[in-house]
Amino acid sequence: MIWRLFFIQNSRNARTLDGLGFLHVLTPLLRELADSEEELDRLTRRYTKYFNANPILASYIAGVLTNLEIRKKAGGDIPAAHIERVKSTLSSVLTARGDDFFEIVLIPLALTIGCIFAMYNSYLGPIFFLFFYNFYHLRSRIGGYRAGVMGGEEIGRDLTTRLFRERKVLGGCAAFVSGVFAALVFTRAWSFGGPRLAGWGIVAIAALLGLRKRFSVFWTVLIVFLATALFVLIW
Amino acid sequence: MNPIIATSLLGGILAVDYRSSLRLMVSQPLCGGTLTGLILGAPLEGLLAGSLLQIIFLGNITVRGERVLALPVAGVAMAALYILCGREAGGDVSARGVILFWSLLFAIFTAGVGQVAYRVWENRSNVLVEKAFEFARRGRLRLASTIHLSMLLVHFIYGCAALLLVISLGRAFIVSVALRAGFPAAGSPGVFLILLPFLGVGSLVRLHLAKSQAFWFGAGFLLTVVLFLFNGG
Repeated sequence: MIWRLFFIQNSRNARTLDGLGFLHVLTPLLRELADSEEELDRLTRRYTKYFNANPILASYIAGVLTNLEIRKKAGGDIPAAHIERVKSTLSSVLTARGDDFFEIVLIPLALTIGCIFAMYNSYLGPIFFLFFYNFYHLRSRIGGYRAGVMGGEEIGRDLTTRLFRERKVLGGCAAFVSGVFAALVFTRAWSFGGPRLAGWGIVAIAALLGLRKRFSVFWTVLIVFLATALFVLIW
Repeated sequence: MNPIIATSLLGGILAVDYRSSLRLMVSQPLCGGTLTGLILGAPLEGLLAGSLLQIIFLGNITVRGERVLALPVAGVAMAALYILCGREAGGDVSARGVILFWSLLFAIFTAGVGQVAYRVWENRSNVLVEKAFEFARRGRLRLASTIHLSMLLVHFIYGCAALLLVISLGRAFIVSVALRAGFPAAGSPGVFLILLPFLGVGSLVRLHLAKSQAFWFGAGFLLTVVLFLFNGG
């Protein structure tokens, strides 16, 4: 089942988002739990719905639901509505936490360090990025499913606490490393072309911050890039 | 193997890594550019091209619901165009600035077009997903899974086709039009390489100031500047 978690977003679409992907993840479990065609049909209907979660932390949700379905099958008093509630609560909580941790903190941090190495033509850049990011990624993907199966719905609280703690530390690191990166870019520009180049850098940053309030990433980058090219022509 | 076909296949694989949620992040331009360089026999140039595109988009985070630029495909396009056109220009250093400018412009457009294409696909694939759900409800779970997995092919084919088109057209344009006209007369890529990272700094500033982490950002900045000054500037 774990390898299926790596393909959860294949069929992401505007209506049910990762609903089909999540059904694909749980298919072996549903087959195993169902004793008859009717039961398989009943179980399947519960999962042919909308599903939206951070793809990395979806492993925890799949693990927790596996735990609940197995306990229910073994005779536990777990109504289907409770399983549905756990699924939707965990999805929303873990999506917010997961996006915040992976997309806002971890990836920019790992990429900034990787890019600092790459700026000095070092292959350590991509290698560091891949190891650093995938340490957290694979730990959450593979370990997350196991933790969910073992711990059941209680795991959600522990996980969000842990992510909150790690986010605090790594968030500070990400800001610090970004500051180092900004200083390196400034000092390089200063050494290469003096205050004129560094001055243009400040203009580019101000333009980017201003344009982003009104335009998308694509148009902002395109406009500042073309303006920089124009500056290089004049310079 | 033809270098354009080889890099297109790589782009297809990286598109799968990014869109399928395999998410090993080999698809980030920093890694994709280096891999393209390895395939084309110029890993250092690939690293340079890929990392430049990565730096430009460094602090632009994409949380769920936001539009996602097709950076993996753009990273391969950037590195492939920079390396292949550089070979055509021979040892002419002054042409490198022109090549860098056009390679980046093609890469940025590739990223933008990929974003639109993916949005269209997300809206259109509803029909297929509904069909798969119908099969699942009738007990045909294997067929539903097959439909789900077959969508990997869509991402792969898109990555390959987009790169075949962009690299072929981009290379022809840069070599036959831009290099001949010498436009823009940017000289060596040195100044570009110094200035473009400011775009990344801008988006990182935006990211960290918004998150009330200005103290740590300032600390990193000041410490590096002080070390720079102590080392004689």
